[in-house]
Amino acid sequence: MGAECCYEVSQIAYIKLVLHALKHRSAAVNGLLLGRLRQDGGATATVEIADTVPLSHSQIGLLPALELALIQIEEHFEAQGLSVVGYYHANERHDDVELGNAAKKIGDHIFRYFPRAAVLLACGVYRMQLHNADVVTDGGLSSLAMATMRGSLVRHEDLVSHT
Amino acid sequence: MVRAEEAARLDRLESQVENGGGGAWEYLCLARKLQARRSDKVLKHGLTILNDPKARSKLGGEEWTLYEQVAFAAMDCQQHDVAKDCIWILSKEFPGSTRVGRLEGLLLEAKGAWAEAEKAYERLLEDNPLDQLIHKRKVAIAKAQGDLSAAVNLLNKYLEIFMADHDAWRELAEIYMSLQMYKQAAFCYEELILSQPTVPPYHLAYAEVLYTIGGLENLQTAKKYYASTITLTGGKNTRALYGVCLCSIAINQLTKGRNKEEKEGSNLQSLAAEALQRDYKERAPKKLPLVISMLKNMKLNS
Repeated sequence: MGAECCYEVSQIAYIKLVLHALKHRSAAVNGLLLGRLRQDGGATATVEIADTVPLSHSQIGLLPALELALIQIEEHFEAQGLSVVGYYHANERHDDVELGNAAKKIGDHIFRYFPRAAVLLACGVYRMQLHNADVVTDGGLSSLAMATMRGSLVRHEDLVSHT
Repeated sequence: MVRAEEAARLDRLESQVENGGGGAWEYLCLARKLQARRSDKVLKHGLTILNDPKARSKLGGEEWTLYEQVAFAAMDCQQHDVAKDCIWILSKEFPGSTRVGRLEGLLLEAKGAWAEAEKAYERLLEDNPLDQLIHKRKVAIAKAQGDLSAAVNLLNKYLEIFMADHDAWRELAEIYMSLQMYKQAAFCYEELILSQPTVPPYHLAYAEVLYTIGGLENLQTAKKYYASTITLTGGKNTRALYGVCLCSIAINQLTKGRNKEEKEGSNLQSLAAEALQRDYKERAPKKLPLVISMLKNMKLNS
């Protein structure tokens, strides 16, 4: 999978991801991770996952939506210096912690463009699985807990709801 | 499938009830009619009515339908005790009823007791072998346990008997897609289009599956179905408009080496592009520059 690499998930990326999954509780959801590569000097590089773009909550394996999203995201976020650095996925069933075939294929597709691509599988509100390593973020927890308690799932739209 | 106006009315009623403006019963009836899955709200407001003896007696015979609706909502919210109470009250009123028996099976499913739920459904099926809902619950059990191939087998057997069940065909198509069996999913959508040719979502989904399978013929057919979606929705479906553009690019890429005599549909692509720009101008003007530059790039690449 290439050289050793660190992945940093920003609070806003994490919260958007979880809110997307919470909004569509009975469906699988997926989306793209945006960020940049930071060379900290020395051998390790850090992939900063700065933002996420929710993609769809139904019929996940279909190509047109994904291709459209990739084209539009590259255009829009180039100005901010962000590019597609990965993909996130949350399965339909809460006890399904395996990365499905569709998710793997999309991950491979993104890997071709960005060799350090990450695939985040959300296995619950406070736990994400990063390809082979475990990533537990604790920076985003308190504000997320507040948001869910207030039941305020903001005006959260993904590509499929938008079109 | 819920139409936009009815969904909007449901949302309005929901916010009205949430803010104490009354209309809970109307909201519950509409949610039941549209089969909308708003379990936490239904549970909250349904219980308010049921726990109030005066409100309950005002409902008359509809009281039992409300118990059933609240039981469903409670199970969805993992409030098994509430569900159990509702089902117990219903079973006292309607002893030996299949409809109540189904609810009991559903409660076992909600608790995750798959084997017991299956046994309960088998017992019910002995007396009612043609009960569609129970057959579908068996498929749901297989799906909930992650056994998608069993779910597919059960659904196929079900559809051999109940061929006109559109929801079942849709469900089967979705399961096939999650298993990446796109050709089989396409077959399901073909059945749906044959029986309901004027329903746009089926045309759209069929086009998307064909695009995903790929290949020149499939792309050309996909473009036709995107076009039929646009016709059926009066040009309002953004996904179909985008789909036409994507298909055109893909087709042009595949026919690059061939003669230009087959240069079909460039009219269709430019019409779709124009319609997209008009659409964004009306609904999301801030995103219009992005769409314009994206369409320009697509034309350059094709």
